[in-house]
Amino acid sequence: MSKLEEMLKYVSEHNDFYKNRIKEYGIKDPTDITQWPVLTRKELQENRYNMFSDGYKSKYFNQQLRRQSSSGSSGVPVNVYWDYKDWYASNMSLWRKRLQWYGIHPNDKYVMFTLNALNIKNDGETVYYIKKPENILSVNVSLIKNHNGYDKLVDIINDFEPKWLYIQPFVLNKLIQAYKRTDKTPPTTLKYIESIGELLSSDLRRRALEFFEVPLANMYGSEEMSGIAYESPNQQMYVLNDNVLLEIMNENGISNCGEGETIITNLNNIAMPLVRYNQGDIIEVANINSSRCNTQIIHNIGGRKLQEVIIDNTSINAFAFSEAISTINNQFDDVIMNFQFLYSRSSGKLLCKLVLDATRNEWFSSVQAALIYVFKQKFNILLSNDDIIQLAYFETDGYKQRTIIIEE
Amino acid sequence: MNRTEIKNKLIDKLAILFENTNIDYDLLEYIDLIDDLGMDSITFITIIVEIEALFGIIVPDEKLQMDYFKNVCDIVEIVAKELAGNSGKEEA
Repeated sequence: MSKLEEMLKYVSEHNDFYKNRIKEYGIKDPTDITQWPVLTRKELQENRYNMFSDGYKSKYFNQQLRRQSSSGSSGVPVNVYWDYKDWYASNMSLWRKRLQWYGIHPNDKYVMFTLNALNIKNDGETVYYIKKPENILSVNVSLIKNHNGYDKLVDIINDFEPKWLYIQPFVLNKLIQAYKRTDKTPPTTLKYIESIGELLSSDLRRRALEFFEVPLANMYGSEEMSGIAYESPNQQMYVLNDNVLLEIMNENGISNCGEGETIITNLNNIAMPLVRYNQGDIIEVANINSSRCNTQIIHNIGGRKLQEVIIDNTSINAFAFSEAISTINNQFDDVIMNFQFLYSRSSGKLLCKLVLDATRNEWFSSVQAALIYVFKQKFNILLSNDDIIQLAYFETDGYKQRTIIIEE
Repeated sequence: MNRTEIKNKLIDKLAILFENTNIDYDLLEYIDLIDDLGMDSITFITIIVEIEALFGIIVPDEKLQMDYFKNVCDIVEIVAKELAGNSGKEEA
């Protein structure tokens, strides 16, 4: 029995949520993935406390599960819970390849760039970072607002002497510019760069290779799934099929290649299984068939492009808005069910629309106040009550769930 | 490879991984990686990746728990079992 069939058999026997789906959708053979319906992000969010497999709800209450939070660049924040052994198994898939292809070990020093709030001081001149654990330098790029900040970051990275960078393309671009502006060279310890989020453009890849002179690889993953695909040294982006089953949904239905929405089944997470989960990305997958295997190669990833907006002379990456929502949700027990930021470039005006958990609608004024506070603290942006609008739940049908930048 | 050879190779690797902790080489065999060295998730994944590369094995998913990797003796058992399984497969 394949790992996929084992997972499907398991959920059909040990998970009430999926047992109900079998009845509801009339699934005859639960080990046949093609008979399962797609699980939407909204369904995952609404059923987040009903999706534990047998025995795992008590582990959740005893805080024995690992929580992975997706802040919701798609507009719907979700939490996924893992048994630790499954989370390790899920991560091993990527780590084995990092070592095999690029000689990167888990304890090698690296720099990662986060948009999450770190424990920071609000001082516009300071570059914000922490070293925890010792081999990881975490830099909060949402707090770097100008050239000066990136220029200082060059020194901090060079002093840290990382072996590799775990970096978003837009940060990589700014970093190259900062190195050139300051006329400094990258640390000689640097041996590898891993790009996350959207795929590297050919232009940025060329410039990064020319400047850093180390191998670059795209990695496609998510908080819900861990690693999904990883680029080999021959520049083919292979699906990590010991961790996930990746399918594509488009107007022709669901298949394992083509262009469309990413439908993913995790092969490791037993505690809170995700079967045919709509990840929310648009990707293009080709199949390479040989006599021995059927290999999926990713050619393009859409829907993850990060754009910057400028409000009150402050440059902010659009993804940082969803991090603000995540901060509020951590404080208010996931009360925000859906959100949308609208930004008009011509007027420089930012509008935030929120949908709260229907049972906690009366929390809106508190959430509003907290969001105003977070924007002031994280971005030094003054939002007013009028900029934050509450939508009723029924209004969310057809609601475009993404940060939208309006060109006027 | 017998258990003593596995143990010696393993201790050499752990000595490199834990060189910053000032643990005496001769004591590595007896320490508890969780209680004495406070093994965290990164250290745990590091140990797995390193022993897989060192011995040419794949640690089975069901063994990916820190409790199975508390000390040298535990790890030697896992490695020996996987090596025996591999040689069994090769012979077959």
